[in-house]
Amino acid sequence: MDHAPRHAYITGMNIGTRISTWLHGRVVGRDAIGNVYYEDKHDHGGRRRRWVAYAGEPEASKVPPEWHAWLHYTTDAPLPAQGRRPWQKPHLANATGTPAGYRPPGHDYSGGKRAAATGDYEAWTPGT
Amino acid sequence: MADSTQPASFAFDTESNAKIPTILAKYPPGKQASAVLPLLDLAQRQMGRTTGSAWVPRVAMDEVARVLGMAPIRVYEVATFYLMFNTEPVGKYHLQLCTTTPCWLRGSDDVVQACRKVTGIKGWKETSADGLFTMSEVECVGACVNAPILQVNDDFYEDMDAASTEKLLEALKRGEVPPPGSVKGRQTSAPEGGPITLTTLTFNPAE
Amino acid sequence: MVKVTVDGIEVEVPAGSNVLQACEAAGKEIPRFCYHERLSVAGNCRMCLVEIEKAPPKPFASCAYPVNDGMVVHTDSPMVRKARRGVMEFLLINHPLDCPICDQGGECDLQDQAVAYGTDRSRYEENKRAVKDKNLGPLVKTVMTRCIHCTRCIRFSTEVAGVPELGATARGESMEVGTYVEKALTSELSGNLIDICPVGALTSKPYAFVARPWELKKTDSVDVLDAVGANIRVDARGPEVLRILPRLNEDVNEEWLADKSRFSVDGLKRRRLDSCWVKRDGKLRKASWQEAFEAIAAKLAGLSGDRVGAVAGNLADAESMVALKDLMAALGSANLDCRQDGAALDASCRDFYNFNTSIAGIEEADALLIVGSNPRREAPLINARIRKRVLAGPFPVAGIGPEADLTYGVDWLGNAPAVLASLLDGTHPFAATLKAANKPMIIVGQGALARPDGAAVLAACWKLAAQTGMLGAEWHGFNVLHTAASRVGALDLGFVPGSKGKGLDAMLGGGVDLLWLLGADEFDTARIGAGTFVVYQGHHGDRGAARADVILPGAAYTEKNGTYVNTEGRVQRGQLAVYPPGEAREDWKILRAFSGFIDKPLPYDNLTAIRARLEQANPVFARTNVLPRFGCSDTAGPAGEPTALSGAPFRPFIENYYQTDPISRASPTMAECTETYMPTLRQAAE
Repeated sequence: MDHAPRHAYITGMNIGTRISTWLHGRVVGRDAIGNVYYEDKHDHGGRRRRWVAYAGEPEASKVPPEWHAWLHYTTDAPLPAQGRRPWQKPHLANATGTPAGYRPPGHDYSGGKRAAATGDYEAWTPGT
Repeated sequence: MADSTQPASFAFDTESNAKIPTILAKYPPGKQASAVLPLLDLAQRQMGRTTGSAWVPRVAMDEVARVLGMAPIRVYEVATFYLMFNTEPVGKYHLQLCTTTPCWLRGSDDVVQACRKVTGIKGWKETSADGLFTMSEVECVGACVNAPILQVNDDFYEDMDAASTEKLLEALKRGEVPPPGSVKGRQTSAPEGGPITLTTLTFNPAE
Repeated sequence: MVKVTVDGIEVEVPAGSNVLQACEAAGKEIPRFCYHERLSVAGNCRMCLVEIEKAPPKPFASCAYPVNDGMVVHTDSPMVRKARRGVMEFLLINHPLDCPICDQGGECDLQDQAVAYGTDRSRYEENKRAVKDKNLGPLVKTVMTRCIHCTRCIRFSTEVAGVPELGATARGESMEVGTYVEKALTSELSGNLIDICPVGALTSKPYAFVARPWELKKTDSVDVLDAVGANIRVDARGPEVLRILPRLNEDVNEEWLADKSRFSVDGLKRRRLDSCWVKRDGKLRKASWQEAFEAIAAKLAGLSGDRVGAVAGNLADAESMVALKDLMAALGSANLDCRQDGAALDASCRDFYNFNTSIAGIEEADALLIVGSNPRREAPLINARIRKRVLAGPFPVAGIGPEADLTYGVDWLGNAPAVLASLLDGTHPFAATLKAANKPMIIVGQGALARPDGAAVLAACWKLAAQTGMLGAEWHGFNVLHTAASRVGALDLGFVPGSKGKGLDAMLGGGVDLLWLLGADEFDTARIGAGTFVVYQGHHGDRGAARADVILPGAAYTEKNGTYVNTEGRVQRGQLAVYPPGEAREDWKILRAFSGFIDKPLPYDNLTAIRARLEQANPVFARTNVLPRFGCSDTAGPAGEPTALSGAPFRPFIENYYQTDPISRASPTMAECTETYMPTLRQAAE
């Protein structure tokens, strides 16, 4: 967590959020890509407000599952980053709409050749 | 249906052929299909006589269908419906053990155990290694008063217990066929040890 | 008539009806699985229980209980509901809960009735039984665990199809429906098993896991793969026809459909002509409509009318044929023919080429002579009607032609026209049988007509019909059995050589310079003269397209609004279910467009107008769907010398039932059927 740039959150906040964070926020931790997670440092009774300052573009799907659980009050603390299984892949933000987004095999940008589908017919050509 | 055991052909032999007209004559003209049960029985007996295994192979059903002019599937339906027709080969002695309530209360479990012990058969519908015996579980054979019953081919052996079953099967193994009926020497289904009522009555044809 | 009160509604039903029919007459729905109005009563599903007053206080199986006068029936009493719930619970004991993966889902009687008449929960916790699936051939898929032993399939195959191959073997819990000896069902009507099965035990093999019934767009249409004109429903999803089901028409197909008509659908997706092709430098090249029309117009320029000819194929609709005929007339040609097989059909009188008795009329007949026909292959549904008549009572059937198993007893008199002669002079004993009958009928197949002495055979059959009282004022017993759906329509339109016109034989071998084939694939294209310019208009790349110089892509029968006349002369209309693929267009529109292109426009621009033209060409086209029956008003026979019979034996007209036209030849399912059912033919073809 600590290898992420400490100032990274600055780019992801507008001025109002920055002031609010400076006034009320207490840093809880950072994740691998540098998102910073805050909690209200004052106790107003009830649960404390939790928020995230994104590293780079604000994009909700950038929050990895271990912090997602904490952010949505599912767990009291973020899930441990240690003890990951070999099959647990690193978290990726939703790439839909970006050049890295998934395109099915029949898509024009990924070859444009699709398997036969409903409604297709086989045309006659001479010699068959 | 075990195809490997099915013979390639079947034809009624002279002895069976002699009986067919008699059987067919029992049914009105045009209703010959009614003779399907007696003819299947005839085929099964012929198989027992000629091969030592009384069963009805598929070719025999086809032959019955041909003789009676009916669709083969109609014969298959009948032959598979009635459990007395064996659609798979059986041993020379088909042991039909009744395990319905009266026989069971009178100790049919012992008879079954004895059969298993002597023949070495594990499950129902199996044939012993020597090919002599096949064990089948049957529902009530209608002789509850002499329960338990062990039916060997067509004959009822009555009032069985473990010891008498073993004795009977050993005898069958030796090739002897003990007389059917009560092994305890009962006269038909009269009380064991002789009559206990009407003891003073004597039968005198002259009166 | 008997008076019965059902739930307070009084109805009158014929004596001998059962309670279920009385309830139906009163408009009450009775759930049922085993009961089917066209099959014998089995009474084994027990779902149709009702309560009857003043009878023993128990539920009665209404399908197997005859009505009595004054009977009072309750179909919705607490006792009935409870009894049906109990029956349903028993039925569901061994029925798997696999509706989500079952092809019957959504059109399943058990599903519907379990919702309507069953309980909402199961009390059964024991193991369900499983049954091994049977292989019934390439058309019917079985999942026998789903079987509820209604025995409809057994009764259908025994009674209607006439192939007693299905049965219920073993008993009790081990009872199974099947063939015992594994084999494919040898029936041309096996697809109907899928329809009558109330559960998902018998489903369509080619259609397995393809679609759900609620996804499909249903279009009423008419079948063209034989000349019976069976009424069908075309089920399509998007641009694709997925299946074809029969539609009820008591006068034609009842509720059955032959296998070729039902399972050839996959042929509609293969070998399709979807663009124009024009031959340049000896090679066919893709072209636009403009280029194709230009190529034809260039060839036509300077050709006199008598050097142009047209042949109508077996699947053509009446609209396109009348348009082609009018186009040929505009070009000054009378060279027309629709008889690709060379059948000696006489178009001069409708009685000479119609199935005059009508299909439903078969049930009234009391003697039948079949000449040179195998109705089981040429028209399975008509064969089923004949079988129905045979089962109904004494019905002597005799045949002249190659012996075949028609599923009922046929007295084969021999395979030579000489037998016909002996019937004519009365020396054959069957002549007396025909004379003694009140309503005798004769069926003349194409196998008797498509031969050099066909005209003589037709004339001899007509003469025999006249001699044996088949041509009465009330009864018409002379029938020609066609195999081509377009044939009667073509003859009605006069799609035969006009005065000084050439027939098919004359047109081939260089008789014309431009030959227009309207889906004509059923003759040997090698006979076409080498110098003849061939225009092929059709929907499948088959024999005709292979020989063509210009190909115009047309529409198959599911892709156009077409009028067809079946073998009895019944005018029926098919409707467009999906659009033709690619550049293909409805056939009459192609002809109309071409006529405009060469400045000889045909006088119709829409469907209404061309149908008005049809009526003008022959008034019979005004009368759709209904078929008034006429006696024979004129006993004068067709042209042909009844005594000029040759000695050659009749030959089977259809060798392979499963592949008779471009659609079924393109169908993989039909190819599989050919492999399964006609192994010898397959070897011969290779």
